[in-house]
Amino acid sequence: MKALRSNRRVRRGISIELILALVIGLVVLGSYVQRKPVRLAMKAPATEEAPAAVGTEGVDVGVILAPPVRASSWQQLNCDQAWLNTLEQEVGSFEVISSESISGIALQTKSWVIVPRNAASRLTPTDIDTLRAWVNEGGVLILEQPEGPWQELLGTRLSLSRSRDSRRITSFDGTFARGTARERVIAMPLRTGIVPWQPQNMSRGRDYQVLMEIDGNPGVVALERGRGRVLVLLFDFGRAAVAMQQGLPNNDLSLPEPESVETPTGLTVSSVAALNTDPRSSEVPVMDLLERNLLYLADLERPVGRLWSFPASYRGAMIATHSEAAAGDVASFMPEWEYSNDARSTTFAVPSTLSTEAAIEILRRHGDVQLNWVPRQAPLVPSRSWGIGGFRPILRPMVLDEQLEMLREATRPYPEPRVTRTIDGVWGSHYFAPWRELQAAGIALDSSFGPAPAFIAQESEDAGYIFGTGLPYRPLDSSGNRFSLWEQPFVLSDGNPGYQLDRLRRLIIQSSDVYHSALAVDWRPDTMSRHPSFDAIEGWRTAFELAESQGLWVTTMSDYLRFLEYREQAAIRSSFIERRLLIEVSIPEVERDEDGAYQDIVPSVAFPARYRSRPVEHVWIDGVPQDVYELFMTGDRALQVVEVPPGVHRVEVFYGSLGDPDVEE
Amino acid sequence: MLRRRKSGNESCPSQIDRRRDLVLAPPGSRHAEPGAYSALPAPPAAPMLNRRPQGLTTFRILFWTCIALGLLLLIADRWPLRFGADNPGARPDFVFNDKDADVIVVIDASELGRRTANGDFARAWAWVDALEQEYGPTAVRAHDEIDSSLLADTRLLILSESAARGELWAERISLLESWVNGGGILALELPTGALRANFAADGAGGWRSPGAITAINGADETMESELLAMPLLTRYLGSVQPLAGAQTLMAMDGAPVIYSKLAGRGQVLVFDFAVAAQLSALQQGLPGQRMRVRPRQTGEPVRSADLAASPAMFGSVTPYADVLERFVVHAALGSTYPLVFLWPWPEGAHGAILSSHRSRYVSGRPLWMSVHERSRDARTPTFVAAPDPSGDTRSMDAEEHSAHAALLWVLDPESAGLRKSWGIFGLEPIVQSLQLEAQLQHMVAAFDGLSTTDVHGIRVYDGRWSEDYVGIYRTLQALGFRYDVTYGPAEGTPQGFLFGTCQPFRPVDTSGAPFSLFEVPVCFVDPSTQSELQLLGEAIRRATEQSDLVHVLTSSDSFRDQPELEAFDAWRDMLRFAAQNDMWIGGAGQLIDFRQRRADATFRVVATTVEERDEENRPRRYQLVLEADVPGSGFHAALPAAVGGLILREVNVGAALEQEDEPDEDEIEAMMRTYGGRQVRLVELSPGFSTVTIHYETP
Repeated sequence: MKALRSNRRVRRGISIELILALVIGLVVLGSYVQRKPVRLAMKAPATEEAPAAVGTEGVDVGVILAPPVRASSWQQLNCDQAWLNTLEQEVGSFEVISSESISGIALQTKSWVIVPRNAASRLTPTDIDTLRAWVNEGGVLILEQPEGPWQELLGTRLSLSRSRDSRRITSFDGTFARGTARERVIAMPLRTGIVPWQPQNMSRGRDYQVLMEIDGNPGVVALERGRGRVLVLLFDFGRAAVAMQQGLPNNDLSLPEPESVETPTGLTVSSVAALNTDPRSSEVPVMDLLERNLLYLADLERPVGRLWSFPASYRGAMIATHSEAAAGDVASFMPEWEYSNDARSTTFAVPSTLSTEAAIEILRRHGDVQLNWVPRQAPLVPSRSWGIGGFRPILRPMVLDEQLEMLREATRPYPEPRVTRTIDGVWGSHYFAPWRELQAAGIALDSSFGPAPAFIAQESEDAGYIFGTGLPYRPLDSSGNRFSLWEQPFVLSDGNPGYQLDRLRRLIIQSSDVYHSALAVDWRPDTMSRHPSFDAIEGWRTAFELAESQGLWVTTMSDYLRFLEYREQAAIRSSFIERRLLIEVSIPEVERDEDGAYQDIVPSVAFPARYRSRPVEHVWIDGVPQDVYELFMTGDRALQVVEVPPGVHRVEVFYGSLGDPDVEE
Repeated sequence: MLRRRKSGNESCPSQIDRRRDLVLAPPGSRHAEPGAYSALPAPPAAPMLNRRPQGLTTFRILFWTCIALGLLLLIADRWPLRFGADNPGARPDFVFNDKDADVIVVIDASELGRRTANGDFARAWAWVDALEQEYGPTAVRAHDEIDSSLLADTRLLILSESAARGELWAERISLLESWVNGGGILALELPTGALRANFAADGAGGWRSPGAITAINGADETMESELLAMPLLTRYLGSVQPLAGAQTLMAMDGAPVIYSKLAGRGQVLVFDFAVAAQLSALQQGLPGQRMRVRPRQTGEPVRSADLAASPAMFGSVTPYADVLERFVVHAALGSTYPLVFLWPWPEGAHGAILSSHRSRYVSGRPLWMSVHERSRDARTPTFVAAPDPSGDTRSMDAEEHSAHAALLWVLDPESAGLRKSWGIFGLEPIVQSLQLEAQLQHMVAAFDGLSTTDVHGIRVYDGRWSEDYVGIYRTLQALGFRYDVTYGPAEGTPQGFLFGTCQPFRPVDTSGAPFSLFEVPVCFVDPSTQSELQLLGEAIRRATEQSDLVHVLTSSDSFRDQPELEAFDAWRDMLRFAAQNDMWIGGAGQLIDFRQRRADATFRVVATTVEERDEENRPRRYQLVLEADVPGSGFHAALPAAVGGLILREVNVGAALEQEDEPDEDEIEAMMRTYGGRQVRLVELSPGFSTVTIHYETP
């Protein structure tokens, strides 16, 4: 009995302490879990590979492509479709011709045919004969490093095994660009492979012309064949374009991860792959200039009409953006100021940090809200949480489509976000993986490529066209196919020390005067707390007025995307007889505003300003003469631009002293 | 608890039994009588005591000890044990200087410590500040050093109130008289005894408190109107009769308080009010009784704005102290003979803007505003508070902090989390506040390559001040700071020249000795409202017209989250306006550097020749030979364009001859300035030694 009583007492005593210890333990555990919640494994992100290339049938520029082959290294990557980006940017429409179905009929309507490097190596002698016949009839054939049975057409045989590294363009006699643009393209760096041009029994000037030199050696040669011309690119243009625009990866298709970049494992910043980071050349969109000038070589023989890269007579565009980057509702001070000063911008919002009210307020004030994508490896990734009230100990990070859905919900009933930018310039360290996620999520335009903020990339002083372009392009997948979405790199971020007021002003002015590019600029709402500067505030507030005064289209990402999609729906075809260029253009109907005016998304028509030194003398639109001197001419004095309304139109351009077309007819 | 106690009582029988076993004597002992104790009931034990022997296990001891320690930690974390060191303090010593200058201020140091009847102390140093600011190199001497050989090289002798006692000069009156007759200019502040008898009015009217200045002679309209509105903080000595032959330059309530009389080839000026006390009270402010400072608003801590000498100073765009100094030096001391002086601004600028910044945060490039101003060749300070020791701050680049970093001293470090703490599990039961020295060290540590000796400037956070009038200065003196910019408007109070100046001055201790550091009052702090911006605009316009100074403090961290764009525009526009109007832009330390080099320069009139006089003994033709030895470029001599009927005719700089009657109009026009109520012409001085010969004559 004694023993029993004693045990009972002990049990009672211990139970009090146990209960207390249990309570304390639970409180401590709860507090710990609240601080360090349990993170569930993330849902596997959806990915989608790039689709097969498509073009517009019946247009006068064709590109011959070989079937895609998956690459497992940079050297294996098929870069032929970089030509599609070039044509999309500079011409507007093109037709894709399979290397397995080349026919004379398909070539009949073509002014130019481009055979990229990979396709060139796969064509059969029969295909080449077909092409030769077409050239003889007046076509312009552009061949990129043609290896294989081309000897009969070219008069020599090229061997890619003798390719060596190139450094820079040393002359560009063939181009008819003038002024600053010409100076810039002549000195531009060009790091790719070039094959030597050493034809037997052919002499320069008599049998071929050298239109461009690289490191003092022929880079582009022109051969007259019948009534047409063959342009042989001796350098790997496609690879150079992909490396410049999409970035240069390691050979295993991973991106470099330098120590100076502070990112979580699996992430780096997009700018680590940029090639045009030398401050001397980064203010020049070198790849745009190269693409433009290569096509001018074809114009020398046979001019073609183009869809201008911007609506109406805008000389370029400025897209003001604000990466909210988890700054929260404080980010809305920028759109608020812009609203009161008749300016517009795009705010890239992290859906978990910008409140619904703030997002709606920005949209209500004619702003634009798009997704600031936080990749799953990033510490700030938005998460779904489970718990009671404020106690939410279980989290699961959200993948891209969940983040997009969350923002979509927050911004209803406004148009759905379709544009992304990754937070703080981070980017997956696999060359293709982020694109595949974006493709699967249905993103139409991304603007993640650009200078990273100083707090992530400490030694970076990037600014300007570090990806060599100020125009949108479609990145390539490992198959060599292009993704459906466009990448529009941004040129400046005020979070990077490379951002300077003077540089911003120069970029705006030169975009209008020389390069005709779309300048996406990121003014971050958190810059003044992270990397404050006079230039950040001053540049942001003065850029709108300066850009407008320079004839740039000041727009948002969503409007720019609408324009790109609209331009893609348009088609242009031209024929050239004697000195008369006939351009047929079909521009779909566009919504009109309350006053009946077309919205600012109708592309204009551009055409070469000269043909063999003869200037444009007359221009008719649907038979109505235009004042040639009123037409806007590009900064390189190579193209003239004329506005056309939606619908099907005929634009006739006469070079030299021709008589009245009506009389002639 | 009740149940537990009851339970304890219930357990008594068994415990009693056990105790009984313990107390029973062993068999055979002398207590071993059977039943000897058995009849005694065991004493009833307290319930807890009853439990302890059995339930006090090691586990329980440890458990409850841990609980007790935990509770103790929690309590100590809530009300931590504080300890800390006081800020050090040091009183300044009065030091004379025997500069090679032709302007001497005489101070009797033994008089300085003596309190006046109203508890105030002597502020004679204000004379030295005024002359160094408005003239240039000035010597400070004791009265017994003044002899004929010293006077032979002196052009202007000022006997401050402390040294203008007749008994000090009774035996040297004739020396002073002959020196004045020979061409010297003697200024006497409230002279007594033999000095009054020989040089001043009778002073028999007794001490009076002035209502206002009622007459000004020798100043332009702007200066006159500004002086007439100046609040008066001193007394004056009235006389029954004016001094015969004297010209009144200033009158208070109708009584002459500054008057001048020509004597031989020289001039005597008498100041019958305490000029230095008025200047010092305007600049350094006035404490309450027993040198304590009380807040103007009950419940608020003491701020520097509480020291402002008069409510009229709030919202004022007139720097009353500067105006009075200029009047005293240029209009009074230079009333008859041209007073050539060293231009107070670098590069001959049309006035200056001092720009200072402050940041409560070390992180995020706090010096960005100073870095931007560097593009205008300005070295402006940013006062940065010490980081919270628990925070994670990034180091700044050496380039960023070069010549810019200064300390924002948090007077109440506890409230700002500036403390060191010791503890475990995130609990901090022991804390030590970071006092000034520790704050300085923490701030410096956050900047890569910066050392404490590089930090010269300081501002007290939120414009706070100590209740002790000079307590802050004594601390700063002890730690060797070179300048302070705490004086200025507080948040919510009208801005402007609260201390009658934005120019550097040396504050004085209650002993009358000057501190070694400079105070550089701020006139505008984060101007952003419409009325503040309007006031700032007025002040800058006035500064351009009158070649004056405006000091603006901007918070670089007010742009952190939602930038105050109006404040940004005000700052940007101020810099633009200054650049467009040839104003000098710089920092307080930069201006002090320039002023000290200017004060250390040699600048003296070595020969004056009156070639012709009128019937009133005033000169008709007058020539000065000036010798200057300036340490570097950017220095200019300022020559009054016209004085007492004389106009500037000719200037020879070294070998080059500049003829006033065949001038390069544009060049001369570009070098003309309005200063001290008159037009002056600047002549650039080459680095090193140069001679300037200046000719004046009547038109």
